[in-house]
Parts: sequence; structure tokens; C-alpha cells
Amino acid sequence: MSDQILELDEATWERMLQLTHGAVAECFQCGVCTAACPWGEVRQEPLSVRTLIRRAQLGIGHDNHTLWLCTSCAQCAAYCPRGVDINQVMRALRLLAWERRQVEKGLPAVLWSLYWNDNPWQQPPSQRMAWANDLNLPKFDPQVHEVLLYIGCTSSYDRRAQQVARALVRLLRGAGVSFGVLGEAEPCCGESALSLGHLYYFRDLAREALQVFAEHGVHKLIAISPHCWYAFTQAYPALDEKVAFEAMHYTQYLHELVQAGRLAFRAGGTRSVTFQDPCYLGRLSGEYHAPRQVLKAIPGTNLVEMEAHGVDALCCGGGGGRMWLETPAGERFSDLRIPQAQHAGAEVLVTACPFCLICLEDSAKTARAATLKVIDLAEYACLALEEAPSSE
Amino acid sequence: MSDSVLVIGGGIAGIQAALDLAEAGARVVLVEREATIGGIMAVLDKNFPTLDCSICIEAPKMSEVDLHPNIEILSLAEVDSLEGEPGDFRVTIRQRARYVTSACTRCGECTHACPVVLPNEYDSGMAARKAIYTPIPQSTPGAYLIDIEHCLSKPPNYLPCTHCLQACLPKAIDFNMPEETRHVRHVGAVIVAVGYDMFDPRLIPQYGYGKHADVLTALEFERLVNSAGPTGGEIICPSDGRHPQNILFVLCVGSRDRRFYHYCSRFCCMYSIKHAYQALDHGVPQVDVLYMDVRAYGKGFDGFWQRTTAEGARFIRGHPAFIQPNAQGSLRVVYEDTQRAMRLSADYDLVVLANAVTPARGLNTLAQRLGIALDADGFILAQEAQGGLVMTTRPGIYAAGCSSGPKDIPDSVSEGSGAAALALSHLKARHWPQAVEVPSLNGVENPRVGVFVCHCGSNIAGVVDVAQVAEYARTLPDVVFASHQMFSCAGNTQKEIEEAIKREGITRVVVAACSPKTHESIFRGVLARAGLNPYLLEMANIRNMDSWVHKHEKEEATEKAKDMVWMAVEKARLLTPLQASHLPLKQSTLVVGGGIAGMTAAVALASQGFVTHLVERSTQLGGLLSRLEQIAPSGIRASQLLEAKVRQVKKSRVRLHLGTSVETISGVVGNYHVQLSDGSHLEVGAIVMATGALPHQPVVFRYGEDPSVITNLDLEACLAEENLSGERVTLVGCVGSRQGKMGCSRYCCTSMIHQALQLRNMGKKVRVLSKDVRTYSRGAEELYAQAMRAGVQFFRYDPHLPPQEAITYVSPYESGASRNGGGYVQFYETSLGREVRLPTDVLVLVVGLQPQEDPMVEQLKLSRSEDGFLMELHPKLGPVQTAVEGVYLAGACQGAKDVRESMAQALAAAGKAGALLSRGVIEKEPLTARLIPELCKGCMRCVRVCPFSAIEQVGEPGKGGSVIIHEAACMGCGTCAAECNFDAIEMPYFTKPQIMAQIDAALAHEPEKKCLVFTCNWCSYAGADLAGIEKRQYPPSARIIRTMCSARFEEDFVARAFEKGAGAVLITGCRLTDTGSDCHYNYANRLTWKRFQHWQRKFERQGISPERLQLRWISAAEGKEFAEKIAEMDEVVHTFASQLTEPGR
Repeated sequence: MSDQILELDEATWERMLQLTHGAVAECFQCGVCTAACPWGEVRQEPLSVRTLIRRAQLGIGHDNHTLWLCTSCAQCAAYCPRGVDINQVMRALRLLAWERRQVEKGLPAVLWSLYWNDNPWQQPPSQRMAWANDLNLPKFDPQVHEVLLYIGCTSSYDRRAQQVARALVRLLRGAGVSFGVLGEAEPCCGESALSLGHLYYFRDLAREALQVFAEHGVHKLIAISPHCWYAFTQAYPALDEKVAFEAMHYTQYLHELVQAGRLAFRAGGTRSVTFQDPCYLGRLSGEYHAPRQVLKAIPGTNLVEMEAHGVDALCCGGGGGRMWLETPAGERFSDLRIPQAQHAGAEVLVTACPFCLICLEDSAKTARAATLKVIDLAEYACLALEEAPSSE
Repeated sequence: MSDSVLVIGGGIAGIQAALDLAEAGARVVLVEREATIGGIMAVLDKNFPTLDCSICIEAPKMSEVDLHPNIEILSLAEVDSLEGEPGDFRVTIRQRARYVTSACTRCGECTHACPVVLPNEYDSGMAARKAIYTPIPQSTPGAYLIDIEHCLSKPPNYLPCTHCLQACLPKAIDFNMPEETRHVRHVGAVIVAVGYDMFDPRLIPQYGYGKHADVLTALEFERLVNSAGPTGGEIICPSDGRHPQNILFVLCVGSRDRRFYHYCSRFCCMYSIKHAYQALDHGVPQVDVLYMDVRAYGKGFDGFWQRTTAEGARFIRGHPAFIQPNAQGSLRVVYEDTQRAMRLSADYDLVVLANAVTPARGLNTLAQRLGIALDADGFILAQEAQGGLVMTTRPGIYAAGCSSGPKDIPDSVSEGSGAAALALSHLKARHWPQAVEVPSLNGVENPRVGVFVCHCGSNIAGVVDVAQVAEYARTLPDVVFASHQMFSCAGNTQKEIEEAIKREGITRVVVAACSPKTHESIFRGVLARAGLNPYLLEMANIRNMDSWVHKHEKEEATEKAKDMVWMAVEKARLLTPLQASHLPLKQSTLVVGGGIAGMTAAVALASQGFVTHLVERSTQLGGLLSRLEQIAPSGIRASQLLEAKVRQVKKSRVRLHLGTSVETISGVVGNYHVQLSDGSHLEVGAIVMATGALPHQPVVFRYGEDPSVITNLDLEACLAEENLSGERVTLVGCVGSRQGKMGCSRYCCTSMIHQALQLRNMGKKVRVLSKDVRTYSRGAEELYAQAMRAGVQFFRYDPHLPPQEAITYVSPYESGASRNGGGYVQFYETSLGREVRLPTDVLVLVVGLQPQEDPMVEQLKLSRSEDGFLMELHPKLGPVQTAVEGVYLAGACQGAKDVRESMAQALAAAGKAGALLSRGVIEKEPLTARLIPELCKGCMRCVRVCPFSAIEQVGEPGKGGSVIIHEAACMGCGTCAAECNFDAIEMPYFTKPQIMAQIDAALAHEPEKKCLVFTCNWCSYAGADLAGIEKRQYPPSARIIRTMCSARFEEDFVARAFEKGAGAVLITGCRLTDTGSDCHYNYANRLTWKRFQHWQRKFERQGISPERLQLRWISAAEGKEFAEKIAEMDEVVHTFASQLTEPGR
């Protein structure tokens, strides 16, 4: 294999150049990306991001199993001296792989589920609102509601993540926010298609979603998952699609509520809390501040930082389509994160992304880390919620 | 019209500019923000690639600036405002107070007394200083100052601390100085040479700088290896003081990084290679370097890299993601070895970051005050099309050195000279210092010696019994007067000496005080004022070389002082009055070569008003420039630049000789005789060689036979006509460069990328194959990034092979072309680790530059470097001079260069030549060699050894007096005098009888217990001085004799010493290594080395064991090494002396 001569594929190269808007060309192969990639911490044969980019630079798509390892956490891009948008390169390479039918097992089913069920979880669309049956959530009405609460597929279907949505509902109600949901009409944001590299299908999904939002007159939405929020605020505009509404991540919205004095917390016991920066909230969107401010607003919270936090935070391993691929035990980033949180002296590991929550809680269980509780920020805040007098 | 130039910044670029201007008769105001001039070069340990000791070669220039009557140094000063126009600027300068007056004797007592301890900036904060301190031992002007912000007596001082006031006996501390003084100066031009700052690596938190003590910046490492640095030159881990077992050097920290500085910082590759070399040299077992491209672009740089690799340094292509402490407390570095495609997590004891070069802090404000523009990166914006990088956006204001972007020392020096050349064109009046006319004393032929012994407060008197020394001096022959004084250099004491000379009829003066390096000029002034020839002075350095270094052996120190005074008296008795000579000089110049360098130099010289002849072999001006379409990276049209230059040549009345060559050339500096092929005969004072270089003519890849193979110069013609058939173009770099003795050709990477981008913009598919991408020059890295973004594809081929071996090309004209019928290029791609095949219709060979053949070179006795290009006088500080006085180098004849580098160097050559010519005479210090024709036997040995070709054979060999010494060309090293077996050459002030008398005096008592040490003036004497400044104690057995150069030492000196029974003899001089020499006389110390080998063999045969005759190179920064060596020699002496007393021997 290695003695085979590589022939430059000019057509593919020009296409890569165009697909990545030139991003692929700027790399001068220093290898920081490979060194930064968290796979290096868990695998003997790490993900050579540099080699993948080099292949892209030569137009050699090639079926490379490591291509599907990428969690799109962007740790590589954060340190890249050339400022290469490496996620863009990865997606372009994955697109070539789709075209050449060199896709990891199980991934086509995700896209088919998006097609048939409007969600990647292979769940019936009719069950989208099952989690909120008892909550009596109003259908969004632009005339009445301040915001749309956008639940997203994971919080709609995943049992653990549903708790986050429920907690958030209590918080919003506690703050007296008037909000609605789209219910079964809620569209999938399509981020899973994007990070799996099916750029064409993602475009379709984005257009569909935008149409639904437009039909419902959405002017402002609150997303639970940073992945959805990233899609609305960054991926849609990158498609040159007009996004007519303001999208916020729920931590930002909670921060606003706290600042406006609409949301107040009561004192509980003192607890050491650390925060897992979700990649799509932090590195990819630059929001490190809001979630920490919300945590600091909760009395008794002693915020401690893990050594790697902020731009250096370790990915949970759930992005980039990895939620739908099997990661063998011993290769899960989240397994590393639990001891890091313990080392920082935290009793509670708080995050603000359904993927992080699922992965980290799993790892905490595996590690039998009885002293460390993994919880979403919405849930944590909910525990300290000063019940408004008018609450149900 | 003003006669002055303002130079802002006293680093090496500013120093060079100031010296060239002053030499050319301009008055200079040198403004320096810090307390001392010297800049970053003064902080550096060694210079690449020659490993010259940095301060050794810079300190003489610093003191030259200090002593030059035309230069006013304003330290601790900043420019406040500037108004007016070229020729007539009015500038205001704010100067902070030093609080120490010129009465300071550099004794250092104040520093001991000061209770305030602060981090020392010059050691990057790794060592301490006091609130009253001297930044570096060589501090100029003045040694000590008070950091008033941290001083306990900072006004209003209600409870003043007076420790220093009490300690300072000469009362040199004055707290009543106004905090700030405003100066107004009128100047004709301004040179901005403010240097650079460095990127704070804390901004890359992943690298742990500032968090972990063992992550250092390059400058911190520089101090760590410096023997005058905080650890005395030991490489240690700052965290716990252990010796590191391995070190990692990381390149491009903050440079070539879109997050911080996108440009290349240019010289970090080379200093990191130097650091790697030094680390290995210090015995660090493992040394790794993480690089992206090794930009070893200069003369001898690639060779130095190879040597460092051969010594065992590992160069790994990669860049770290994290540098973090590991469990063992050392550092874990995570990076990818990109050539092996392996992610590595390796542990290092020490990590050194080559942090980016950034614009000097405050440059922004200064630029506003001066009204000049900065570029997007914050460096001074250059008007490249007009004057290389030296011209700013405001007429009359010029930039030099790193103020217009990162540059290494020789490039900064060149620009300093170049800026000086341009600044001179704004001045009308010139001045040269005139000797003060004092009626001479009579009876000078009779030696009547006066001895003045200095207490230097308690610095000398606290150890040496000065009264006893003065008493002793009175007993010496010809001594008519001896006294001791509190501070000999103090103003009133100087007067005392003056009066004593007149009163006592003293005709020879011995001052037993401190170092002649700092005080000789002061006492020479005293003599001159008293009407005595200043060369009738001899100093005995009983402070730096006696009281400071033997403070616990008071009696021995007093005995040594007596010996030293006696030695000085013996020499003084034999001193004769010497007169500076004024030699005739023709104020006209010859510039050879009409390319861009030649034209630039000629125009600059003609506009300074000199008759300038420009000789060009071909019938047109332009040289290689006329074959170019655009100039990379600026994209300036070559034809535009050429036309503009030709216009300037015509306008400035340069005398053109086209289609003409130089037939013969003879003579020496000031008076060269030139015969041209057009029949004209020229008499010129200086010559600028601008003969350029030849593009390599490839014979590989069937160039010339295969129509699809062209060179980059052929391509240039195609681009001009926008006519290139073939869609897929592959450019191959390093054809004819970087192989064998040929180094990097500098211009080609940038030029190649520029062409590639042009082709890409024409819609072609363009590939570039190179070894490293060396886009080091200003704007070039940006061009590289632009080309990448545009879709030019870059590949790396095996850097160890020449392109024809690393790359196979199958032309579309050949059978066996690839499957789609086209041609292709195939090679092993190092970043993929695979053979790659690239479809190719046109193969462009990017050729290097080669030296020209020229008979003039032999006639002028110019040397060539290993690569065949003409050799400069010094690779760092003499980039445009040659070993032949009056001959200067401009452009690619000295080494491959691009257009703007050639222009900068041409301006520098014009500046240097202008400085020589402007005065109309050559003034020589009277230390040059004198021939005694009646003793000469015509053996020609002196002709062969002279490092400056200053001795010419004029008659038959073997006939007496058949040589002449050209005083104008002689630099006074004395190599010839030491070589002459017949004593037919005399070195004034260092004559053989004088040195013999010193030897005799030194060894008169108990010679077996003494070690005679010969030092050269520049490095080893300065090293011995430094040992004193640093108070490094060593045994009092050494007796030091100074000459200008170690090549002055004769066999007879050594013979006499042993004849007298000396315990040992130590020969010292500037450092000489495999890589270079610190020698101030063009490698003359190589001869010292050769002679020493011979002496050791010879004296061994005479029964002198080799340990009694030793040689040790000592740099000016090696006080510690000097002290250690003397201690070692003391043991030799001791053993020898005890053997003598043993019965039966």
C-alpha cells in the first residue's frame, strides 16, 4: 500500500478548495492539529489530522477509517497557527466519502432516520412531545410569546436529556418568561447531517427548518443543545441562508434573566462545582462566560476550574456524529474527564449540552465516581430555584 | 542648513549609523531610551553562525561612539517632537536624570551599599540588581545610574536613604539633578533605529511560559549560556538548579501565526540552531529542535545547521500543542513528528521558545511624533521602490535595522550605514575634530617619569598600600616624581597631574589606577593639555587586575602593584612621541558593475558630491534586474525601478563607462590606479565592487534540450509577455543552490512563490516543490500564505538530495508519459511519506546564484568565502567592508541576495566609502607598522602574513628594503613585526624594546613564582578587566602585558621570559574556533595559533614542559574563565617553583 505512487487528483483538489472556501489550502503542515487532537490521549494510533488535511490538499479522498473519529471538537483549529477551519475540511472529506460510499457502518441509518423521522435517533415523530405530556406547554404564538423554546431532537427523545428540557421549562416559568414550543412541528436543525459531512442533505434540512420557523413567525428562540444553536447561528448563515430570527443558547438566556433580576436563586449547601465547556458552546462559538455567570449567581456554588478549561477544555467525545458510532471502552474522552473533575476538587460536574451530559454521566457511572455528580446546568439551577409565588 | 543628524536608538544599527556619520564629518545626536547604548546585541552571548562573542565585537564600537568628538549621546532620553523639513529639523528631546555625574570612577561601592534589590533587565530578570547599578559592565555612556522609581531616596524624600551617598567618595551622586531635562537640537536628517521587542509567550497559555520556570524565552536562554550571565554560563533548570538532560527548542512561537504575528521573524531559526549548538557544547546530552521550515538563508548558515545536526541536535519538523508539567516536575511536550507522522508526548527538562520579534514598544507614538507611517504590523513603512527598506514615508527621515521589520545583525549594520549615506545628502557643513594646539614641552627626548598612584577611594587603597607603592616608584630609574591621589581621574586631580608635569618637567607619565580601556583617553587628554604628547602615557591597571581580584592578599597585591608600576615605568622610559598621520586621498570613487547595486551605490556616492565612475561590462545598465518582470514580494515592476535608477544615474552626474571593463587595478586605499578598457585611466580613493552574481546554468532535467523545461528567468520573460503554453506548471526550487559548497540563494523562494501566484492568477494549475520554504523577508510570508489560499500547491522533496536526484521528470515530449498522455513529476513527498506523481506540462527550474569570475579580485587581493562569493571583513559587523581598506562590497558579489537587500547593501557601501572619502585625507592613529629598511632582508614573510594586504613587494625578493608598508591600509595589529626575523618592522607604542623591558621588570624578582600573561587589547584584556569588575578572585602570580593583537606576540618575548626564569607563560587572545574568530584583525589570531604550536614544540625541546607555555582564548565576556585559567596557571607555577627548590634538581 505505502509503496504505491499517489497520483494527484486535480479535479478533486479544486473541488476541495471550493468546498472549504480555500481553508484546506492554508495549512502548512506543522502538525499542531494532530498533537492537539484528544484522540492522541486515548489511542495508540491517533487521528492524524495533519495527514487528513494533506490528503485533502492533494485531492486524495481515500477511505480512511480515522476520518470518522473526528468529534469536530475544534481543539485542533483552536491551536492552528494558520487559522485553518479544520471542521470545514473534515466535512468536505466526509462528503467525498459519502459520494464514494466509504462511510462507517450505521451512519447511513442516521441520515435515513432524519429523512423518515425528522430526527437522528430513529424515533417516531409522533413521540416528539412525549416528554412534556404533563407540562401543558403552549404552542408558540409570536403575538403572545417572548421566545420559542427549541427543544431539539436529543432532549426530545433521550430519556436523560429530557430532564434538562423539563428543568428548563421550570426555570423559564420560574422567571415568568412567556414562551411556547412548536411541538410535533418542531424541525430538526440538521446539525448531525452537517457534522457527518453530508453537506447537501444538511442544506435541504436547513431550508426546511427555516421554512417551518418562518411559517410560525419565530423571531427569537432558545436552544437547549449548543449543536442546534451553532447550526442556527453559524452553519445556516454560512450557507448564505437568511436567518430571520435571533437564536440564543439557554445559558445565555438564563444569564440575561439573572442580570435582569427575573431569575433568583435561594441558598443551598455549599458545593464545589466545575463546568464542562461544551465544544459547540465554547471553542466553536466563544461562549465561556454566560454559563459560569449563571453558576456564580447560585448561592453556595464554589466554582472550581479543571486544569483544561475554556479553550483547552476536553471534548466529551459525542460530537461530529460520534453519538451514533461505537467508541470502545478505554477510548472515551469522557472517561478522562471524570478524574480531571475530581482532581479539581469538584463534587458536581455541570455541563450545558445533552451530548456532554449523556457521555459524562455514563463515564461517571463506569468509573463508579460516587463522589461526583454529573448534571446539566439547567438542572443544577432548577434545584436552587426560588419558587416564584405564582408558580403552579 | 544643519550639520547634524539625529539617530534614534543606540543598538547596533544606530551605532553603525552614528559612527559612519561622524567619520564623514557629520555631527550626531544619538538618543537612547535605555541607560546604555548597545541594544540587544549587548545582551547576546554569541553570534551565529561564527559563534563570535557578541559583546567582544560590539563593545569596541560602543566605546568608539563614546569617544568620538562628533557624537553626542543622550541616554535615558526620548524624542518629544520634531518639526521642520529635511536639512532643517528642530527636534526636542526629553532626558531623564542619571543622578550620577561624570565624577564616577566606576568603582561600584555604591551598588554594594544600596539596600534595594530588583530584577536585572539585562539578564531578563533572572538575576538581581540594585537601585543604583550599571546595566552591563560595558555600559556607555557612563557606568552607574539610579533607578529613581525604586530608589528609597526618590524625592520628595522625607526619610532619605543615604547609603550610596556615603559610599561614594568622589561625590558623584547628585539627587538634586532635575528629574528631566529638555534638549533642543537642529538636525538635517533623522535615522530611526529603535530595534524591536519580543512577543510575550504568556499569550499562548498552552506553552506554560510564566507558569513553569523551566520554560524559557530565547533571550533568557541567551543569558543562561553567557558567562557574564546570572549562572556564569551554566545551563541549569531555573526551577531547581539541576543540569538539564535534554532541551527542546521551539521555533515560530507567535510568528507565522495568524493569531499573533503572521510574518516570519527571520532570525529565530538561526539563533535557535546556535542555541542547540551551544547546548551540546555545554554537554547537554539530548537537544531537539521543533521547526516548521529552517530558514538558514545567509552565508554559511546552511553549513552551520548541518554542523549542528552532525554534533547531534535533532531537528524535528513539527510544532507543539501543549507544554505542561508532568508528574516528575519536568515538562511534557505534545507534538507531531510530521516526517514520521507520529504524535509524540515527550519529556524535557528545559524548553526554550523562539518568540516572535515585534515592533519596539512605543514605536507607534514615536512614528506619530516624527510624522512617519507604520505598516500593518506596526513596523516602519518603507518606500521600497525608492530606497529599499531604508526610506520612510517622510523625506529626510530614514529607518535602519529592526525598526522596519525583523533583521539580523549584518543586515541591520548594512542598513545603518545605508541610512547614514542617505542622511548625509541633507547636510551642508562637515566638521572633523581638531587637535588642541598646546605649546609642546621641551626636552621630551629625556625620560623624566612621573608616577601617579590612584586610591580609587578604597577600591585600590583598601587593598594595596598605595603610599608604599608611590614610595617604591621613586626608587625606580628615571622617576623624578611620584605621588598618590584619591581619584586620579577626578577633575581637580587631573589638574594636579597637569601642574605636576609642568612643574617637575615630567616627560613620561605613568598612571597606576584602573583600566586603559576606560580611562586611557582621559589621561591622554591630561597629557595633551599639559603640552605633552599623549602617547607618552602608560597605565598600570592596579585596580581591575590587582586590588579587585586579590582583596584578601593585601601584601601580595601591594607587591604585584609595585611590579606593575615598575613594568609601566620601564615601558614609559622607552616611549616616544607619536603623531597621527594624515595621508593623501583622492576624493573620487569607482563603482564596478551597473546592476541595481552598482547603480544605487554610484548614485548615493555622486549625490554626496564625489566624482563617481560607474563601469559596466555590457552596453546597458541593469544587470540581472533587466531580466525580471516583477520584484518579489512587493510586486514592483522591474522596468519601473530600472528606469527610475537609470534616470537617477544620469541626473546625479555619475560618469558612465558602458561596454567597458577594468583592465588593471593597483594601489592602496586613498590612491587606487585603474586602467579601463576604453583607454581611460582613473585615480580613485575607494572602490565599490558591485559585480553581481551569475544565475546558475542548469544542466539537469535536460534543460536546453527539452522545450518543456525552462528556468525561472525564462519564465519571467514568458510572464512579461503573458505567453506560456501548458496548463500545469511545476516549479522546482534549489536548482544549483543548497548543495556542495553553495548555500541558500535567498531570493528564490519568495520570487518563485510570486511567479507561482501570477501563474495561478492566470488560471494555471501550479505546484511548487521545495526543500524548505524560506520566505523570511518582509512581506514574503504573507505572499506565501496568499499563494496557498489562491490554490498554489506546495510540496517538499528530500532536502538531502539535489533536485535532479530527488525528482524524476517525464516530459510530455517523451514516450512513457503518464496515462493521460501528459508529462509528470515524481518524487518522495516528505510530509506524506509517499511517492507522489504530479501532472506537469511545464517544469520550471528555479535557479540559484553563483559567484562571478573577475580578474580584479586577484589584483585587489580580495578573498573569497568558501562558496566563492567575495568575503566581507566581518560576517556580523563588517558586511560591506573587505579586508582591503577602501574596497567595499555591494549586492550579490558578496553573496546571493534579492533586489532590496542589494539596494540596502549598496547604500551601505556608499556610506562607508563616503565616510572614508569625505575628509579628503586619511587620518591614522600612529600605531601602524613602520619599516626599518636597512634591517629588511627582503624575505617577504611580512607580505604573506599581513591580514590586510597592506605590505607590498616593490623589489626583488632577497634584496633588502624591497617591501613597502602602506600606512593607509595598515590596521596596526603587528602580525608582520612578530613574523620578521630581523626586527625590521617596528610597532609604535608596542615596540620590541618596550615589551622586553616590561618582561624584564615583571620577572626581576622571583620569576619562577610568576606567570607572564600576554593579552590582546580587544578580548582577552577586556576579559581580564571583567574578572576585576566581577571581583573574581585569583592568585596574584600573573603579570599582564598588553598588545593590540595576539599576533603581535613574538617568539623572542617567550624566549626572554623563560630565559629570565618565568614560571609560566600564558598566551591569550580573542576566541578562535572552528566556526570563526572574534579577532579584530581579520583572523590574525589564526597565526597566533600556528605560532603557538611551533613555540610549544620548540620550547619543549629546550626543556620547557608544555604546561608552562599555554594558550587560552578569552572573550571579553569571560571574566570567570580568565580567573579560572590564571588559578590553573598558578598551580603550574607553584609546582615549577617547588621543583626548583627540591634538592637534587
